[in-house]
This record gives sequence, C-alpha cells and structure tokens, in this order.
Amino acid sequence: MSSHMLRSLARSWREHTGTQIATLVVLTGTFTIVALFLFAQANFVKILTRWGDNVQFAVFLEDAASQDQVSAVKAFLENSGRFKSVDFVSKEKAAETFRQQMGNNSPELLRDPEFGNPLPASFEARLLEGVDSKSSYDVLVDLAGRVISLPGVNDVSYGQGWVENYASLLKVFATSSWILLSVLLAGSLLIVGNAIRAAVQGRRDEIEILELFGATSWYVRGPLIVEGALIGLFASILSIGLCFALFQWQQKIAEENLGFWGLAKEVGFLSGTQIAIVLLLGLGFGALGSYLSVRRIATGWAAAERI
Amino acid sequence: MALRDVNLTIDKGEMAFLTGPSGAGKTTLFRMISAYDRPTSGAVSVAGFNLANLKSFEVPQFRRRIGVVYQDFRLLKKHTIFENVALPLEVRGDASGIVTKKVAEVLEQVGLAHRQGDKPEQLSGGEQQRVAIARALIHQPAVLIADEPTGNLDPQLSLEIMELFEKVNAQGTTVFIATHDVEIVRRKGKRVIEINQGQIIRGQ
Ligand SMILES: Nc1ncnc2c1ncn2[C@@H]1O[C@H](COP(=O)(O)OP(=O)(O)OP(=O)(O)O)[C@@H](O)[C@H]1O
Ligand SMILES: [Mg+2]
Repeated sequence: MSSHMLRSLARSWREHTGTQIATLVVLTGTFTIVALFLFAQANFVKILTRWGDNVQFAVFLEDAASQDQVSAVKAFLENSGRFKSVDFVSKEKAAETFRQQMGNNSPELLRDPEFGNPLPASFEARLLEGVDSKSSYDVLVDLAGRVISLPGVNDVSYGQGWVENYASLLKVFATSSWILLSVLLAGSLLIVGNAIRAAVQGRRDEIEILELFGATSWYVRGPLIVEGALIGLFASILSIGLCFALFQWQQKIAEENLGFWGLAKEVGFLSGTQIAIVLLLGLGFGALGSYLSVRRIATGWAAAERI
Repeated sequence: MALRDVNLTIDKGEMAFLTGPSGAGKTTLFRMISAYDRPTSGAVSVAGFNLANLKSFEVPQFRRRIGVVYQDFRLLKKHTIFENVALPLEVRGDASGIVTKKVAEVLEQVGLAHRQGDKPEQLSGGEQQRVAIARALIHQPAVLIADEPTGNLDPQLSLEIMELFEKVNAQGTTVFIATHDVEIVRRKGKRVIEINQGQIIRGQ
C-alpha cells in the first residue's frame, strides 16, 4: 500500500471518526446477522435432515391377504433398494405393542378376547436415505403409489402430511434466508457508500487539485475504495468474533440444560469455508459500496461535475 | 460566453504575455487551454493534444504535460509545502528519492527551501504564490501557463520570478503569462497579446 493511500486512510479516521465508528458498528451488526444465518442454515438443515432420516414407511396388509401376496409385498419392498430394513409386524405383535404403549389406558375392547384384533398386520420399512428435499419426497410418493396397488395391501403410511410440510419448510427457510441476506447486503452497500461519500465531501477541493495536476481517476478513487474494503473486512472480522462469543454462550447453556434441543454436540461453529465467505463478503461489499459512491468522481473532465 | 472569435497561436518554445483589464477573459482563456473547462465549440490544440476531443482518460495525461499557476494558487491546505510542490511527481509515481531532490531544487529557485514542512496557511500570500510557481515547474512541463503569477509579489521578487520563467523558457518550455504588470511586460520586450471583453485586440 502506498504512502498516498495510508495518509488518505489516516485522514478519514481523523476527520470522520464518528462516521467511521458508526459505519463499523452497523456493518458489524449486519455481517453478524449474515454469519448467524449461515450458521443457522447449516445447523437447521442438519436438524431437519436428521428428522427426515426417521421417516417410517409402513405398509398395512389386508386381513385376507394370502401368504403368497404377503411374500410378494415383502420381496417388492426389499428389491426396491430404498430401505435399509423391512420388518414384518403381525396382527398379534401390533396388538401387543399397542397394549404396551397404551398401558392401562388401552380400550376395553382390545382386552376383550371375544372381540378379536382390529389391528392389521404390516411391514415397517426404514428408509435408506432420509427425506431432505422435494425430489427425495417425490420418490417416496411414487414408491407408495406402486406399493398400494399390490394385491393384499390395504394402505401405505409414510407421514404424508408432515413430510410434505417438512419439505416445504426447508424451501421456505432457504428462500427467506436468501431474501433477508440480499436485503442486508444491499443495505451494507449503502452504509459503506455513505461513509465514503462523507470522506469525499470533506475533500472536494483537494480532489479537484489532484486532478488538475494530473492525478488519474484511480489515483483519486483507489484510496477510497481500499478504505471501504478495509471497513468491510474489519467489520466482518468483528462479526465473526461476536458470533464465536454467541456460540460459546449457547454451548454453555446447552450443557447446563442437558437435552436443550438435544443438539449441543451436533451444532458446530462456522466452518473454515463459511468464515472465509463472511470475510470475503465484508471485503467485497465494502469495496463495492465504496466503488459505487466514487465512480462518478475524478472522471477526467469533470473538474466541475461532482457527486 | 466569456470568449468570442478567439484565434490564437503560440509557437513551441515561445514566451508570450496576456494582458487586459480585469474581467477581460484572461483566466477564462487559460482555463480553456489547460483542460480545466472543456471547449464548447472550436478547436484548441496544446502540447500536441486536441483539447476539443480529449477523451476522459487523456485528460490527466495532458495535464501532466503542462504546468499551471492558478490565479488563486490552489494549494492543498492540509498538506505541507513539500507535499504541495511534489504533487505533479507524486501523481505519476516518481520514486521518493527523486521527488525529495527535485522539490528541494525547485523550492530553492523560488527562495522557499527553508519552508518545506510548513502548511500553506503559515505562509504569506506572496510565499504561497511562489509555492504554486514551484509546483508548476517541478515536472519540466512542455507548456507553462501562469495566471497573474506575480500579482502578490513585490517588484524585486516579481523580476526574479520573471527571470526564472525566462530560464525555463530558454530550456525549451513554451511560456504563457497573464499579467497586469505593464512595467514587466514593457521591460521584457516579448510578444504581448491583449484581450478585452473576450476578444483579442492586439498581438494576434
Ligand atoms: N464561471 C463563470 N461563469 C460565468 N461567468 C464567468 C465565470 N468565470 C468568469 N466569468 C465571467 O467571465 C468574464 C471573464 O472573466 P475572467 O476571470 O476570465 O477575467 P480575467 O481577465 O481573468 O480578470 P482578472 O484580471 O480580474 O483576473 C468576467 O466577466 C467574469 O464575470
Ligand atoms: Mg483572471
């Protein structure tokens, strides 16, 4: 960095200390939210994916289904390549499980041997891959459609309602975080631009003199763009520090209240890549915001035409 | 429109004076030939550049080829005399060793070698004017354009500065000076261009 740039930076800090600090604070807040979003997105997806892993695929059989039909359904499920396990649950086992779960609350009827067993036999299959997107959900729907048309199958259950909700929840989360991030980053451009504009206003006369003695536009704009980039970078470094402090605080709470989401161990801090993204966003948006506010100064002829 | 039907040629290596009453258009003409204002019509050619069609990126290139003493000095108020005079070399990226040496030389020539570290406001009007002159000369311009460069100087200093300009002219720089100082103009015996109400009335 040339001494010309260093002097320019030092002057901005001296002459516009208030603006610089305000800019730094607001930008740090903005980038902290951006970083928290990246953090939340990574972990939210992790949580939802784990949830999606537990989707149960149950195939209820007709009481009248023949032994051959039952074997055919089992073979179909096993050969589909979608499940890591396929377990048969007989009518008796189902009633047994039901009684255990209900305990003394189970309806009288079920305990009445005269009445018979209304629960159907079924296959319980565990998915090989969790539902983590619309497309993996669609695969599930398609599979269910084919299973239900097999002879001897009465119904198929795979948490239709909530799986659908879950898939759209993922989508809503992804979309809204992109919108919020865009708004915040656009705001950061304005904030940096504003700080740089203050610096420019304070040295209009000087910039004109530099131009009159042969300064190129980049000689004039360069230090201002570097200044914006440094404010952005500095703010992003501060925001990562702030996120780390928040993260440690969250970990401590999670440890003290065991079972707090049951996730304390699974939630990790921002990855190296994510930290690099935040730093680059700071640097890049700082430089861009600054560039946008100086692109009309020092254009060669424009000694009189100013921003 | 402050200038009308101005048709003027100053040869390479020539030294000429521009005179005329206050408000005649001297500064306006200088702004035109130093690429301060873009000409609205007509053709202006200086130091091999056609200013009427000068592209934006050529403006700094042109301004590095000329030296200008502005009537209102245009010094950088927050910078030292050294930094002010070094400006034409700084903007083109000369090495700091060369800059230091040349600034000392040219400040010596205008009698201000001892004021390098001061700020413009610590200098008298005449001293500031000499800083502006040093800055216009430091990069050995092809053309020197000086607007009222001795307006704030006493007769003795004025003569010394004029001798400095003659020396620069003898080294090949074209020199064009606006002045009210009829005494100097008379003594130097150079070409005199007189302007009044935006029109050249003598010396065309
Ligand atoms: N920016 C401007 N806009 C409009 N008119 C201007 C502008 N600058 C100067 N003028 C007018 O142009 C005319 C010529 O002004 P100019 O400054 O060129 O005179 P000058 O010969 O340099 O005078 P002086 O000897 O006082 O410096 C004047 O009438 C002035 O009022
Ligand atoms: Mg004038």
